[in-house]
Amino acid sequence: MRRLLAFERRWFQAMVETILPSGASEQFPLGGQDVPLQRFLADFQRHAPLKIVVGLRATLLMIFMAPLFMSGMRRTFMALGAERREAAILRMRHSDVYVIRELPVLLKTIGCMAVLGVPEVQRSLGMAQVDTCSPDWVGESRTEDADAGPTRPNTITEPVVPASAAAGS
Amino acid sequence: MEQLPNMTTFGDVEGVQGVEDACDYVVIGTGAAGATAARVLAEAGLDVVMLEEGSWIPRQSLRQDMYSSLKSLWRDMGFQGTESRAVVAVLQGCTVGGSTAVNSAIIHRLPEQIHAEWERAYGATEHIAYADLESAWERIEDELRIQVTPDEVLGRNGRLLRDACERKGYSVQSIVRNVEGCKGTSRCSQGCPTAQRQSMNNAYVPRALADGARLYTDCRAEKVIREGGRAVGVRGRFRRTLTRERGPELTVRARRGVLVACSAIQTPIFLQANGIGRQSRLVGQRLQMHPGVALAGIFDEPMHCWFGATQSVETLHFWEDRYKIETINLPPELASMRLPGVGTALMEQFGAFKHMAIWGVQCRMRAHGRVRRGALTGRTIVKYDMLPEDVRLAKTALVTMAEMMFLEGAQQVLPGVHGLPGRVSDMDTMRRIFDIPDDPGIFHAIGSHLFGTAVMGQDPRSSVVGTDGQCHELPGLYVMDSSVFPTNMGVNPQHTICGVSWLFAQRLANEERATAAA
Ligand SMILES: Cc1cc2nc3c(=O)[nH]c(=O)nc-3n(C[C@H](O)[C@H](O)[C@H](O)COP(=O)(O)OP(=O)(O)OC[C@H]3O[C@@H](n4cnc5c(N)ncnc54)[C@H](O)[C@@H]3O)c2cc1C
Ligand code: SF4
Repeated sequence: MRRLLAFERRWFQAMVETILPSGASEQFPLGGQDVPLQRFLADFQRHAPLKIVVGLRATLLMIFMAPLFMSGMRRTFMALGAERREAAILRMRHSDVYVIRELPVLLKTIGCMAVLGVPEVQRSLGMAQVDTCSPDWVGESRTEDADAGPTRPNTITEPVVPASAAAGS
Repeated sequence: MEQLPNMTTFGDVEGVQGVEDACDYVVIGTGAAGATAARVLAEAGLDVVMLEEGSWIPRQSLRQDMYSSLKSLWRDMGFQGTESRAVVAVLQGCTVGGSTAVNSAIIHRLPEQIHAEWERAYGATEHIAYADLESAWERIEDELRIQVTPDEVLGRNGRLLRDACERKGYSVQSIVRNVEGCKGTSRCSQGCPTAQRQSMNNAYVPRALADGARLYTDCRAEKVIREGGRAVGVRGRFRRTLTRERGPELTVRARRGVLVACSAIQTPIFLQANGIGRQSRLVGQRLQMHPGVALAGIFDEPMHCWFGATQSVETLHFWEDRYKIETINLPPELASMRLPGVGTALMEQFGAFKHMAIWGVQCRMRAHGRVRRGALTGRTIVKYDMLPEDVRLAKTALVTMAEMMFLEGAQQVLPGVHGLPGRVSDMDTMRRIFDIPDDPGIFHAIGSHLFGTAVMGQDPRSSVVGTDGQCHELPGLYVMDSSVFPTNMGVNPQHTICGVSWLFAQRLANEERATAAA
């Protein structure tokens, strides 16, 4: 139940890269391709509550199938090109059926955890101060007792105060 | 790594057959209610054992990214939600300190009107007279170093709400928080890396331990031990929350009583698992919340929402109308969920991330939900459906916030409402929200203020516990948390929970003294 199969892992990668594509914006070029999504997924499937992992698997399957039933698409998600993949997810997001429009939200939530949690990405969002080391799942230095909680020290004790955010007025 | 004295963790008991302890009172849960009770009883010289399902996370291990925080500090990694027509995310901490270890430290006393309603409609205040609560709050405010958020850490977001309220003539205030010298890292939901926040893991748990209490972490209480028709202890099981690895059983015998402080979600689950509530059929019923929705605005000038107290300014102007507006600085992983669209359109908006301000609203909704333990799986099932009038309340609050944001120069607001455009540039469009059906599925709501699932009162037919917190069906078993509150209250609840728990615990300590004197 917990372990995603190889094809599901490929779907996950393709769908998150569709929701958060790399190189799509000049101002913010980082996206799904710039972080090790498969490592994140391995960590997620191991630790998330079972019902969420099952929910994720169902979501992947439904997004995979959904374009088959969309006018003008009639193919599976993986058989579509990048633009139409995006359009398919957007159509689901705007569906009047609650469950359907929430499916991409679950993937967007999980994708954002992965992509926007990495310090380099946070820095490029404009955040003044970020952790100096990546989250454990990125995998550079998993410690023995990683499951007891994150073990590498945090770095922030004093925030950097942007001039425009400091007290005034 | 920083460790607490008198603490036993999963690592300490690996390979051990079983662990046994004995005390006067065993307290289950180390959140606002449990830690306060332990602090009062331990100071009174009673022998106290605390049990906590979550782990102890030293502050050096706290991380900035939300995913790591969800794994180490939050229940179900933040994915706990209602199973109803529309999901409401039910957010709770699961670590030493409970939800106070991830909360924004906002402090409010229980409004007197609500206290009066609890007395009038439920006869529930016999042991929590308002004057006594005030004395308890004074002590707590002093010990938790309660302060008004200093101007230096209001952040741009906070000043924005303050200015908007002043312009509109609404009352507004910098939030009073249990934080001494907040550094404005906006990381309350990832644990406070500077330990400035006096959450229970930083304040009352260490204090109780210093007074001789003992703490078992990574240990979920499961069964009440009964003898002669009384609760005389509890059995639990060590288990790593993340990997679900099982450890030995823990048995704690409690000479005086068992105090349940697992929160308004987990307490009814514990009671149901122990067959309590057959008489009133009220255990897990009447769940009430302050569901919250948020509105983001995009401004020309940078908002730098990663700087400032996580929540710094609030207005109680609409309290009588049943809602309360607060600023909230969210980490980018959560803030990004406010951005509409996917793909290229979404990525283009990240460039504007630093120009985004977010305000949230807590609504005192009228809906009642319920909490149930799955018969076969034992899992927690929460049902909660907003009423149409609740949905209208949230819509009104969103419109109020949008109006203020536009007044302060927002180019656009992002309402996150199904049926409205993802980005709204004028109030006429925003007001179209009232043309959308009153369906809870139109927005994403969160619930972190939870009440009423083991309500107190004098009559065993209409309440689960007495007005002193003691279970009608099982003497010696007390409920200390907001499960006992008859209603929701319209303000942030931590301080009331601490106050009520303080008085219940003080009563037990006084009884003890009286017995000893006799
Ligand atoms: C993100 C967030 C922000 C919030 N912000 C504010 C705020 O600014 N101001 C405010 O007033 N309130 C706030 N709240 C709400 C406030 O934190 C809670 O109302 C309060 O902490 C509840 O106290 P409690 O003791 O009932 O439960 P909790 O604080 O949740 O503690 C319950 C503890 O019991 C443990 N437990 C549960 N079951 C078992 C078991 N079977 N065995 C052993 N242990 C168990 C849990 O792991 C947990 O640690 C916020 C909550 C959240 C989640
Ligand atoms: S804003 Fe930062 S320093 Fe202030 S209480 Fe929250 S986490 Fe601690």
